[in-house]
Amino acid sequence: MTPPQKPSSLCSNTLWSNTLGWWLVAPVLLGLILFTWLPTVASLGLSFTHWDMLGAPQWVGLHQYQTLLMDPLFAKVMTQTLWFVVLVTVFELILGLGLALWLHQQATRSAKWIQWLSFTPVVAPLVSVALVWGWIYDPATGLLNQLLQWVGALNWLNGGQPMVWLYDERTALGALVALHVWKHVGYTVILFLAGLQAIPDSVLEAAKLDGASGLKALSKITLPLLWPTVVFVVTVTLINTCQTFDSVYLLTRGGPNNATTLWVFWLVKLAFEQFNIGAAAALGVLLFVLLAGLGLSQKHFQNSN
Amino acid sequence: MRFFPTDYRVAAAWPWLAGGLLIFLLLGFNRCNQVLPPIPQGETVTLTLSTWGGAQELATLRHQLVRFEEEHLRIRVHVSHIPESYLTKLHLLAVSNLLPDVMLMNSWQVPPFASHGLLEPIKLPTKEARTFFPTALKSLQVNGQLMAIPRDVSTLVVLVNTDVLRRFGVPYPSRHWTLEEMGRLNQKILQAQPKTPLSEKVYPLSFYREPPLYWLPWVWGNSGQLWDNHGCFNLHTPKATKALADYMRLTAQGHAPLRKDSARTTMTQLFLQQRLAFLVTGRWTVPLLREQARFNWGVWPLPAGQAGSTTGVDATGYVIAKVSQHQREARELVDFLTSERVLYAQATSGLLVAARSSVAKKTLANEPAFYRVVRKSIATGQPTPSHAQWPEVEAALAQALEPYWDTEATPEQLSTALQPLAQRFCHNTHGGFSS
Repeated sequence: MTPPQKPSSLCSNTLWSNTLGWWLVAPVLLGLILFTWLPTVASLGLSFTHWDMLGAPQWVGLHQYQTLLMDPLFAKVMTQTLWFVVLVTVFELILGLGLALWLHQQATRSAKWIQWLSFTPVVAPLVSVALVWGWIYDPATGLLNQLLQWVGALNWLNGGQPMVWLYDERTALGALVALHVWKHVGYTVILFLAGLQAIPDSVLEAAKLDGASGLKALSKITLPLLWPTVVFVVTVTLINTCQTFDSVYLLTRGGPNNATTLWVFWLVKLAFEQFNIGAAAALGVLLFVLLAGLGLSQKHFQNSN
Repeated sequence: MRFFPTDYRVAAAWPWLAGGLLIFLLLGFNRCNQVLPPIPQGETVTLTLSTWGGAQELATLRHQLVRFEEEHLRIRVHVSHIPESYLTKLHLLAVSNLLPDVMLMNSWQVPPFASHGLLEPIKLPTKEARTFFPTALKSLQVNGQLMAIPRDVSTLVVLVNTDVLRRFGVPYPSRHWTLEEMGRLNQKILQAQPKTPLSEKVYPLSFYREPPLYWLPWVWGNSGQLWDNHGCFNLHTPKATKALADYMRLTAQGHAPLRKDSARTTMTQLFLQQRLAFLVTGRWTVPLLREQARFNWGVWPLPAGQAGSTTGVDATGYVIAKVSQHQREARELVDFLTSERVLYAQATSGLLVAARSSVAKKTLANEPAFYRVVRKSIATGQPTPSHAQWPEVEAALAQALEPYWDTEATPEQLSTALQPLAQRFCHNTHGGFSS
């Protein structure tokens, strides 16, 4: 007969054993409270004040929101951010999905290399990426203008004059979109590949037996089954792109003529260059509401499917 | 064994967590308002000194501080070197009530801090004050009170690539040149290279959109002012907007590079590449030019407008934080750092012009031409205008003027664009203008 086991000393205290889980998550929870939840609540409070970080915040009610909404730059920044987010998301979605579908069908070594290459920019630090792209876009010595001149496209584009990609209001935002798509498309490819690998082969084989192949199988089987991944990719890309700051800071500083001033860049400028913390907090709250809305709609989409 | 309670008894755990968090926060907040008792006599005091600057400047400073510590055995100095985003970091330190005891600040950084009572006003004996350039002292005053002892003064001058002028057969500017004369010389430089491709074009003049310090001399030279006598924004008035429109037109007329033409190349780089005849800059560029310029160049004052040659005089000095627990020791450090011998050591690096006129004369003895120009600019210049809300003013100016750079904007257009600033920065201000 086995003697009855003595309860471990760790569990002897009921309160301790009941709350152990909480103690284990406490460091993370504390971090979340201190560095995420409290600042979020503080931002909401600060958005109703005028504060330059030197004196005490002064209560101004909804003044910061009113000023922001009446500022012509607000409409410009909103529109630009929207364009930027939509363009990056659409291109990443199309390129990522296309590349993932192609890679999924290939079993060759070169396909593996292409998959690896497409992911390389994701792990490259943005600071070095921005430096390289700054050189690519350089009007005088940049790779892009050299290529365009070589194929004779500069004559058609700009009457033979070099294009000033980052210093021309018409092209600066597009130049940033290209950088972002190049930098992040590898991540989208990986997500789509994971989604594609989760689709059982038997479903596709059954569809093949029923005569559905090629485009029909793609539109009727693959894409519907990939829908949750698409929704996830779109939401994550939208949320990440909405928060773009570093590439703008490194390449254009929001110029020319604020043509590349995006939401978060403006927020940082308001807070840490103009020391208008109230306005920056109000902008942050508006962005929070927008992103929360996006997150909730993603949840809604996924639940409905 | 139940390591993780399956029912997650929030009720049991929550008071512990909340209690822990409360203690943590109370300890944290308590630190913010902690008032340390004064250090008893005889104990060592450690002062924090914040500064920006490059490696050479920092090395000179550290060397001087070693001497200071040798002479003041009770005082140790910890240097907080902030090479980037200096003002932002000082704001963050101010929020945490952790401002360094002594800070290096320039004339436009002082008013925001002074207007919130974060700096200790400084009294300077009259005899001592006389050894400084009066404009330097004036530019560090807020509401008539001196807030810093000046270390150096900076003023804009024009560096001229004399080889370029000779190559194009353009005469040297006269020593008392005017904006009209500059315009004529610019035109000659352009006419001398009618078919030169853009990538090889030599631009007559450098051009800056920010900070306002670079284009304000054009406004002052034409009797315009950024602030009126009552401290209200005044740049939207006809004289100022006309001068500003004239300045803006320089790029549209080809006298200076358009933003898209210079792209990432700085004006100093263009000058070093011999693609610029006149570079408007300060003393800080001189050591670089001495090292890298492969051509002859000279120093001229800024050309005069109808109201004469009026450049801004920007001073940098040491301030003492009001929260410092060691006011007396901090003042000893500031006095030491602005003493003749220390200023002499720092100014010999060539990067700065000492705020004490006697030292400036001595350190620029080998450069009589440069010294003459600087002395004259300081004498005819006016203190860089600042304001308690200067970062906001600067940002609002940048935003209002941004659409008009590189265009032939009319004074009326500029006046309309600047009108909202006149409403915003007048009665609404907290005061604290530079006198």
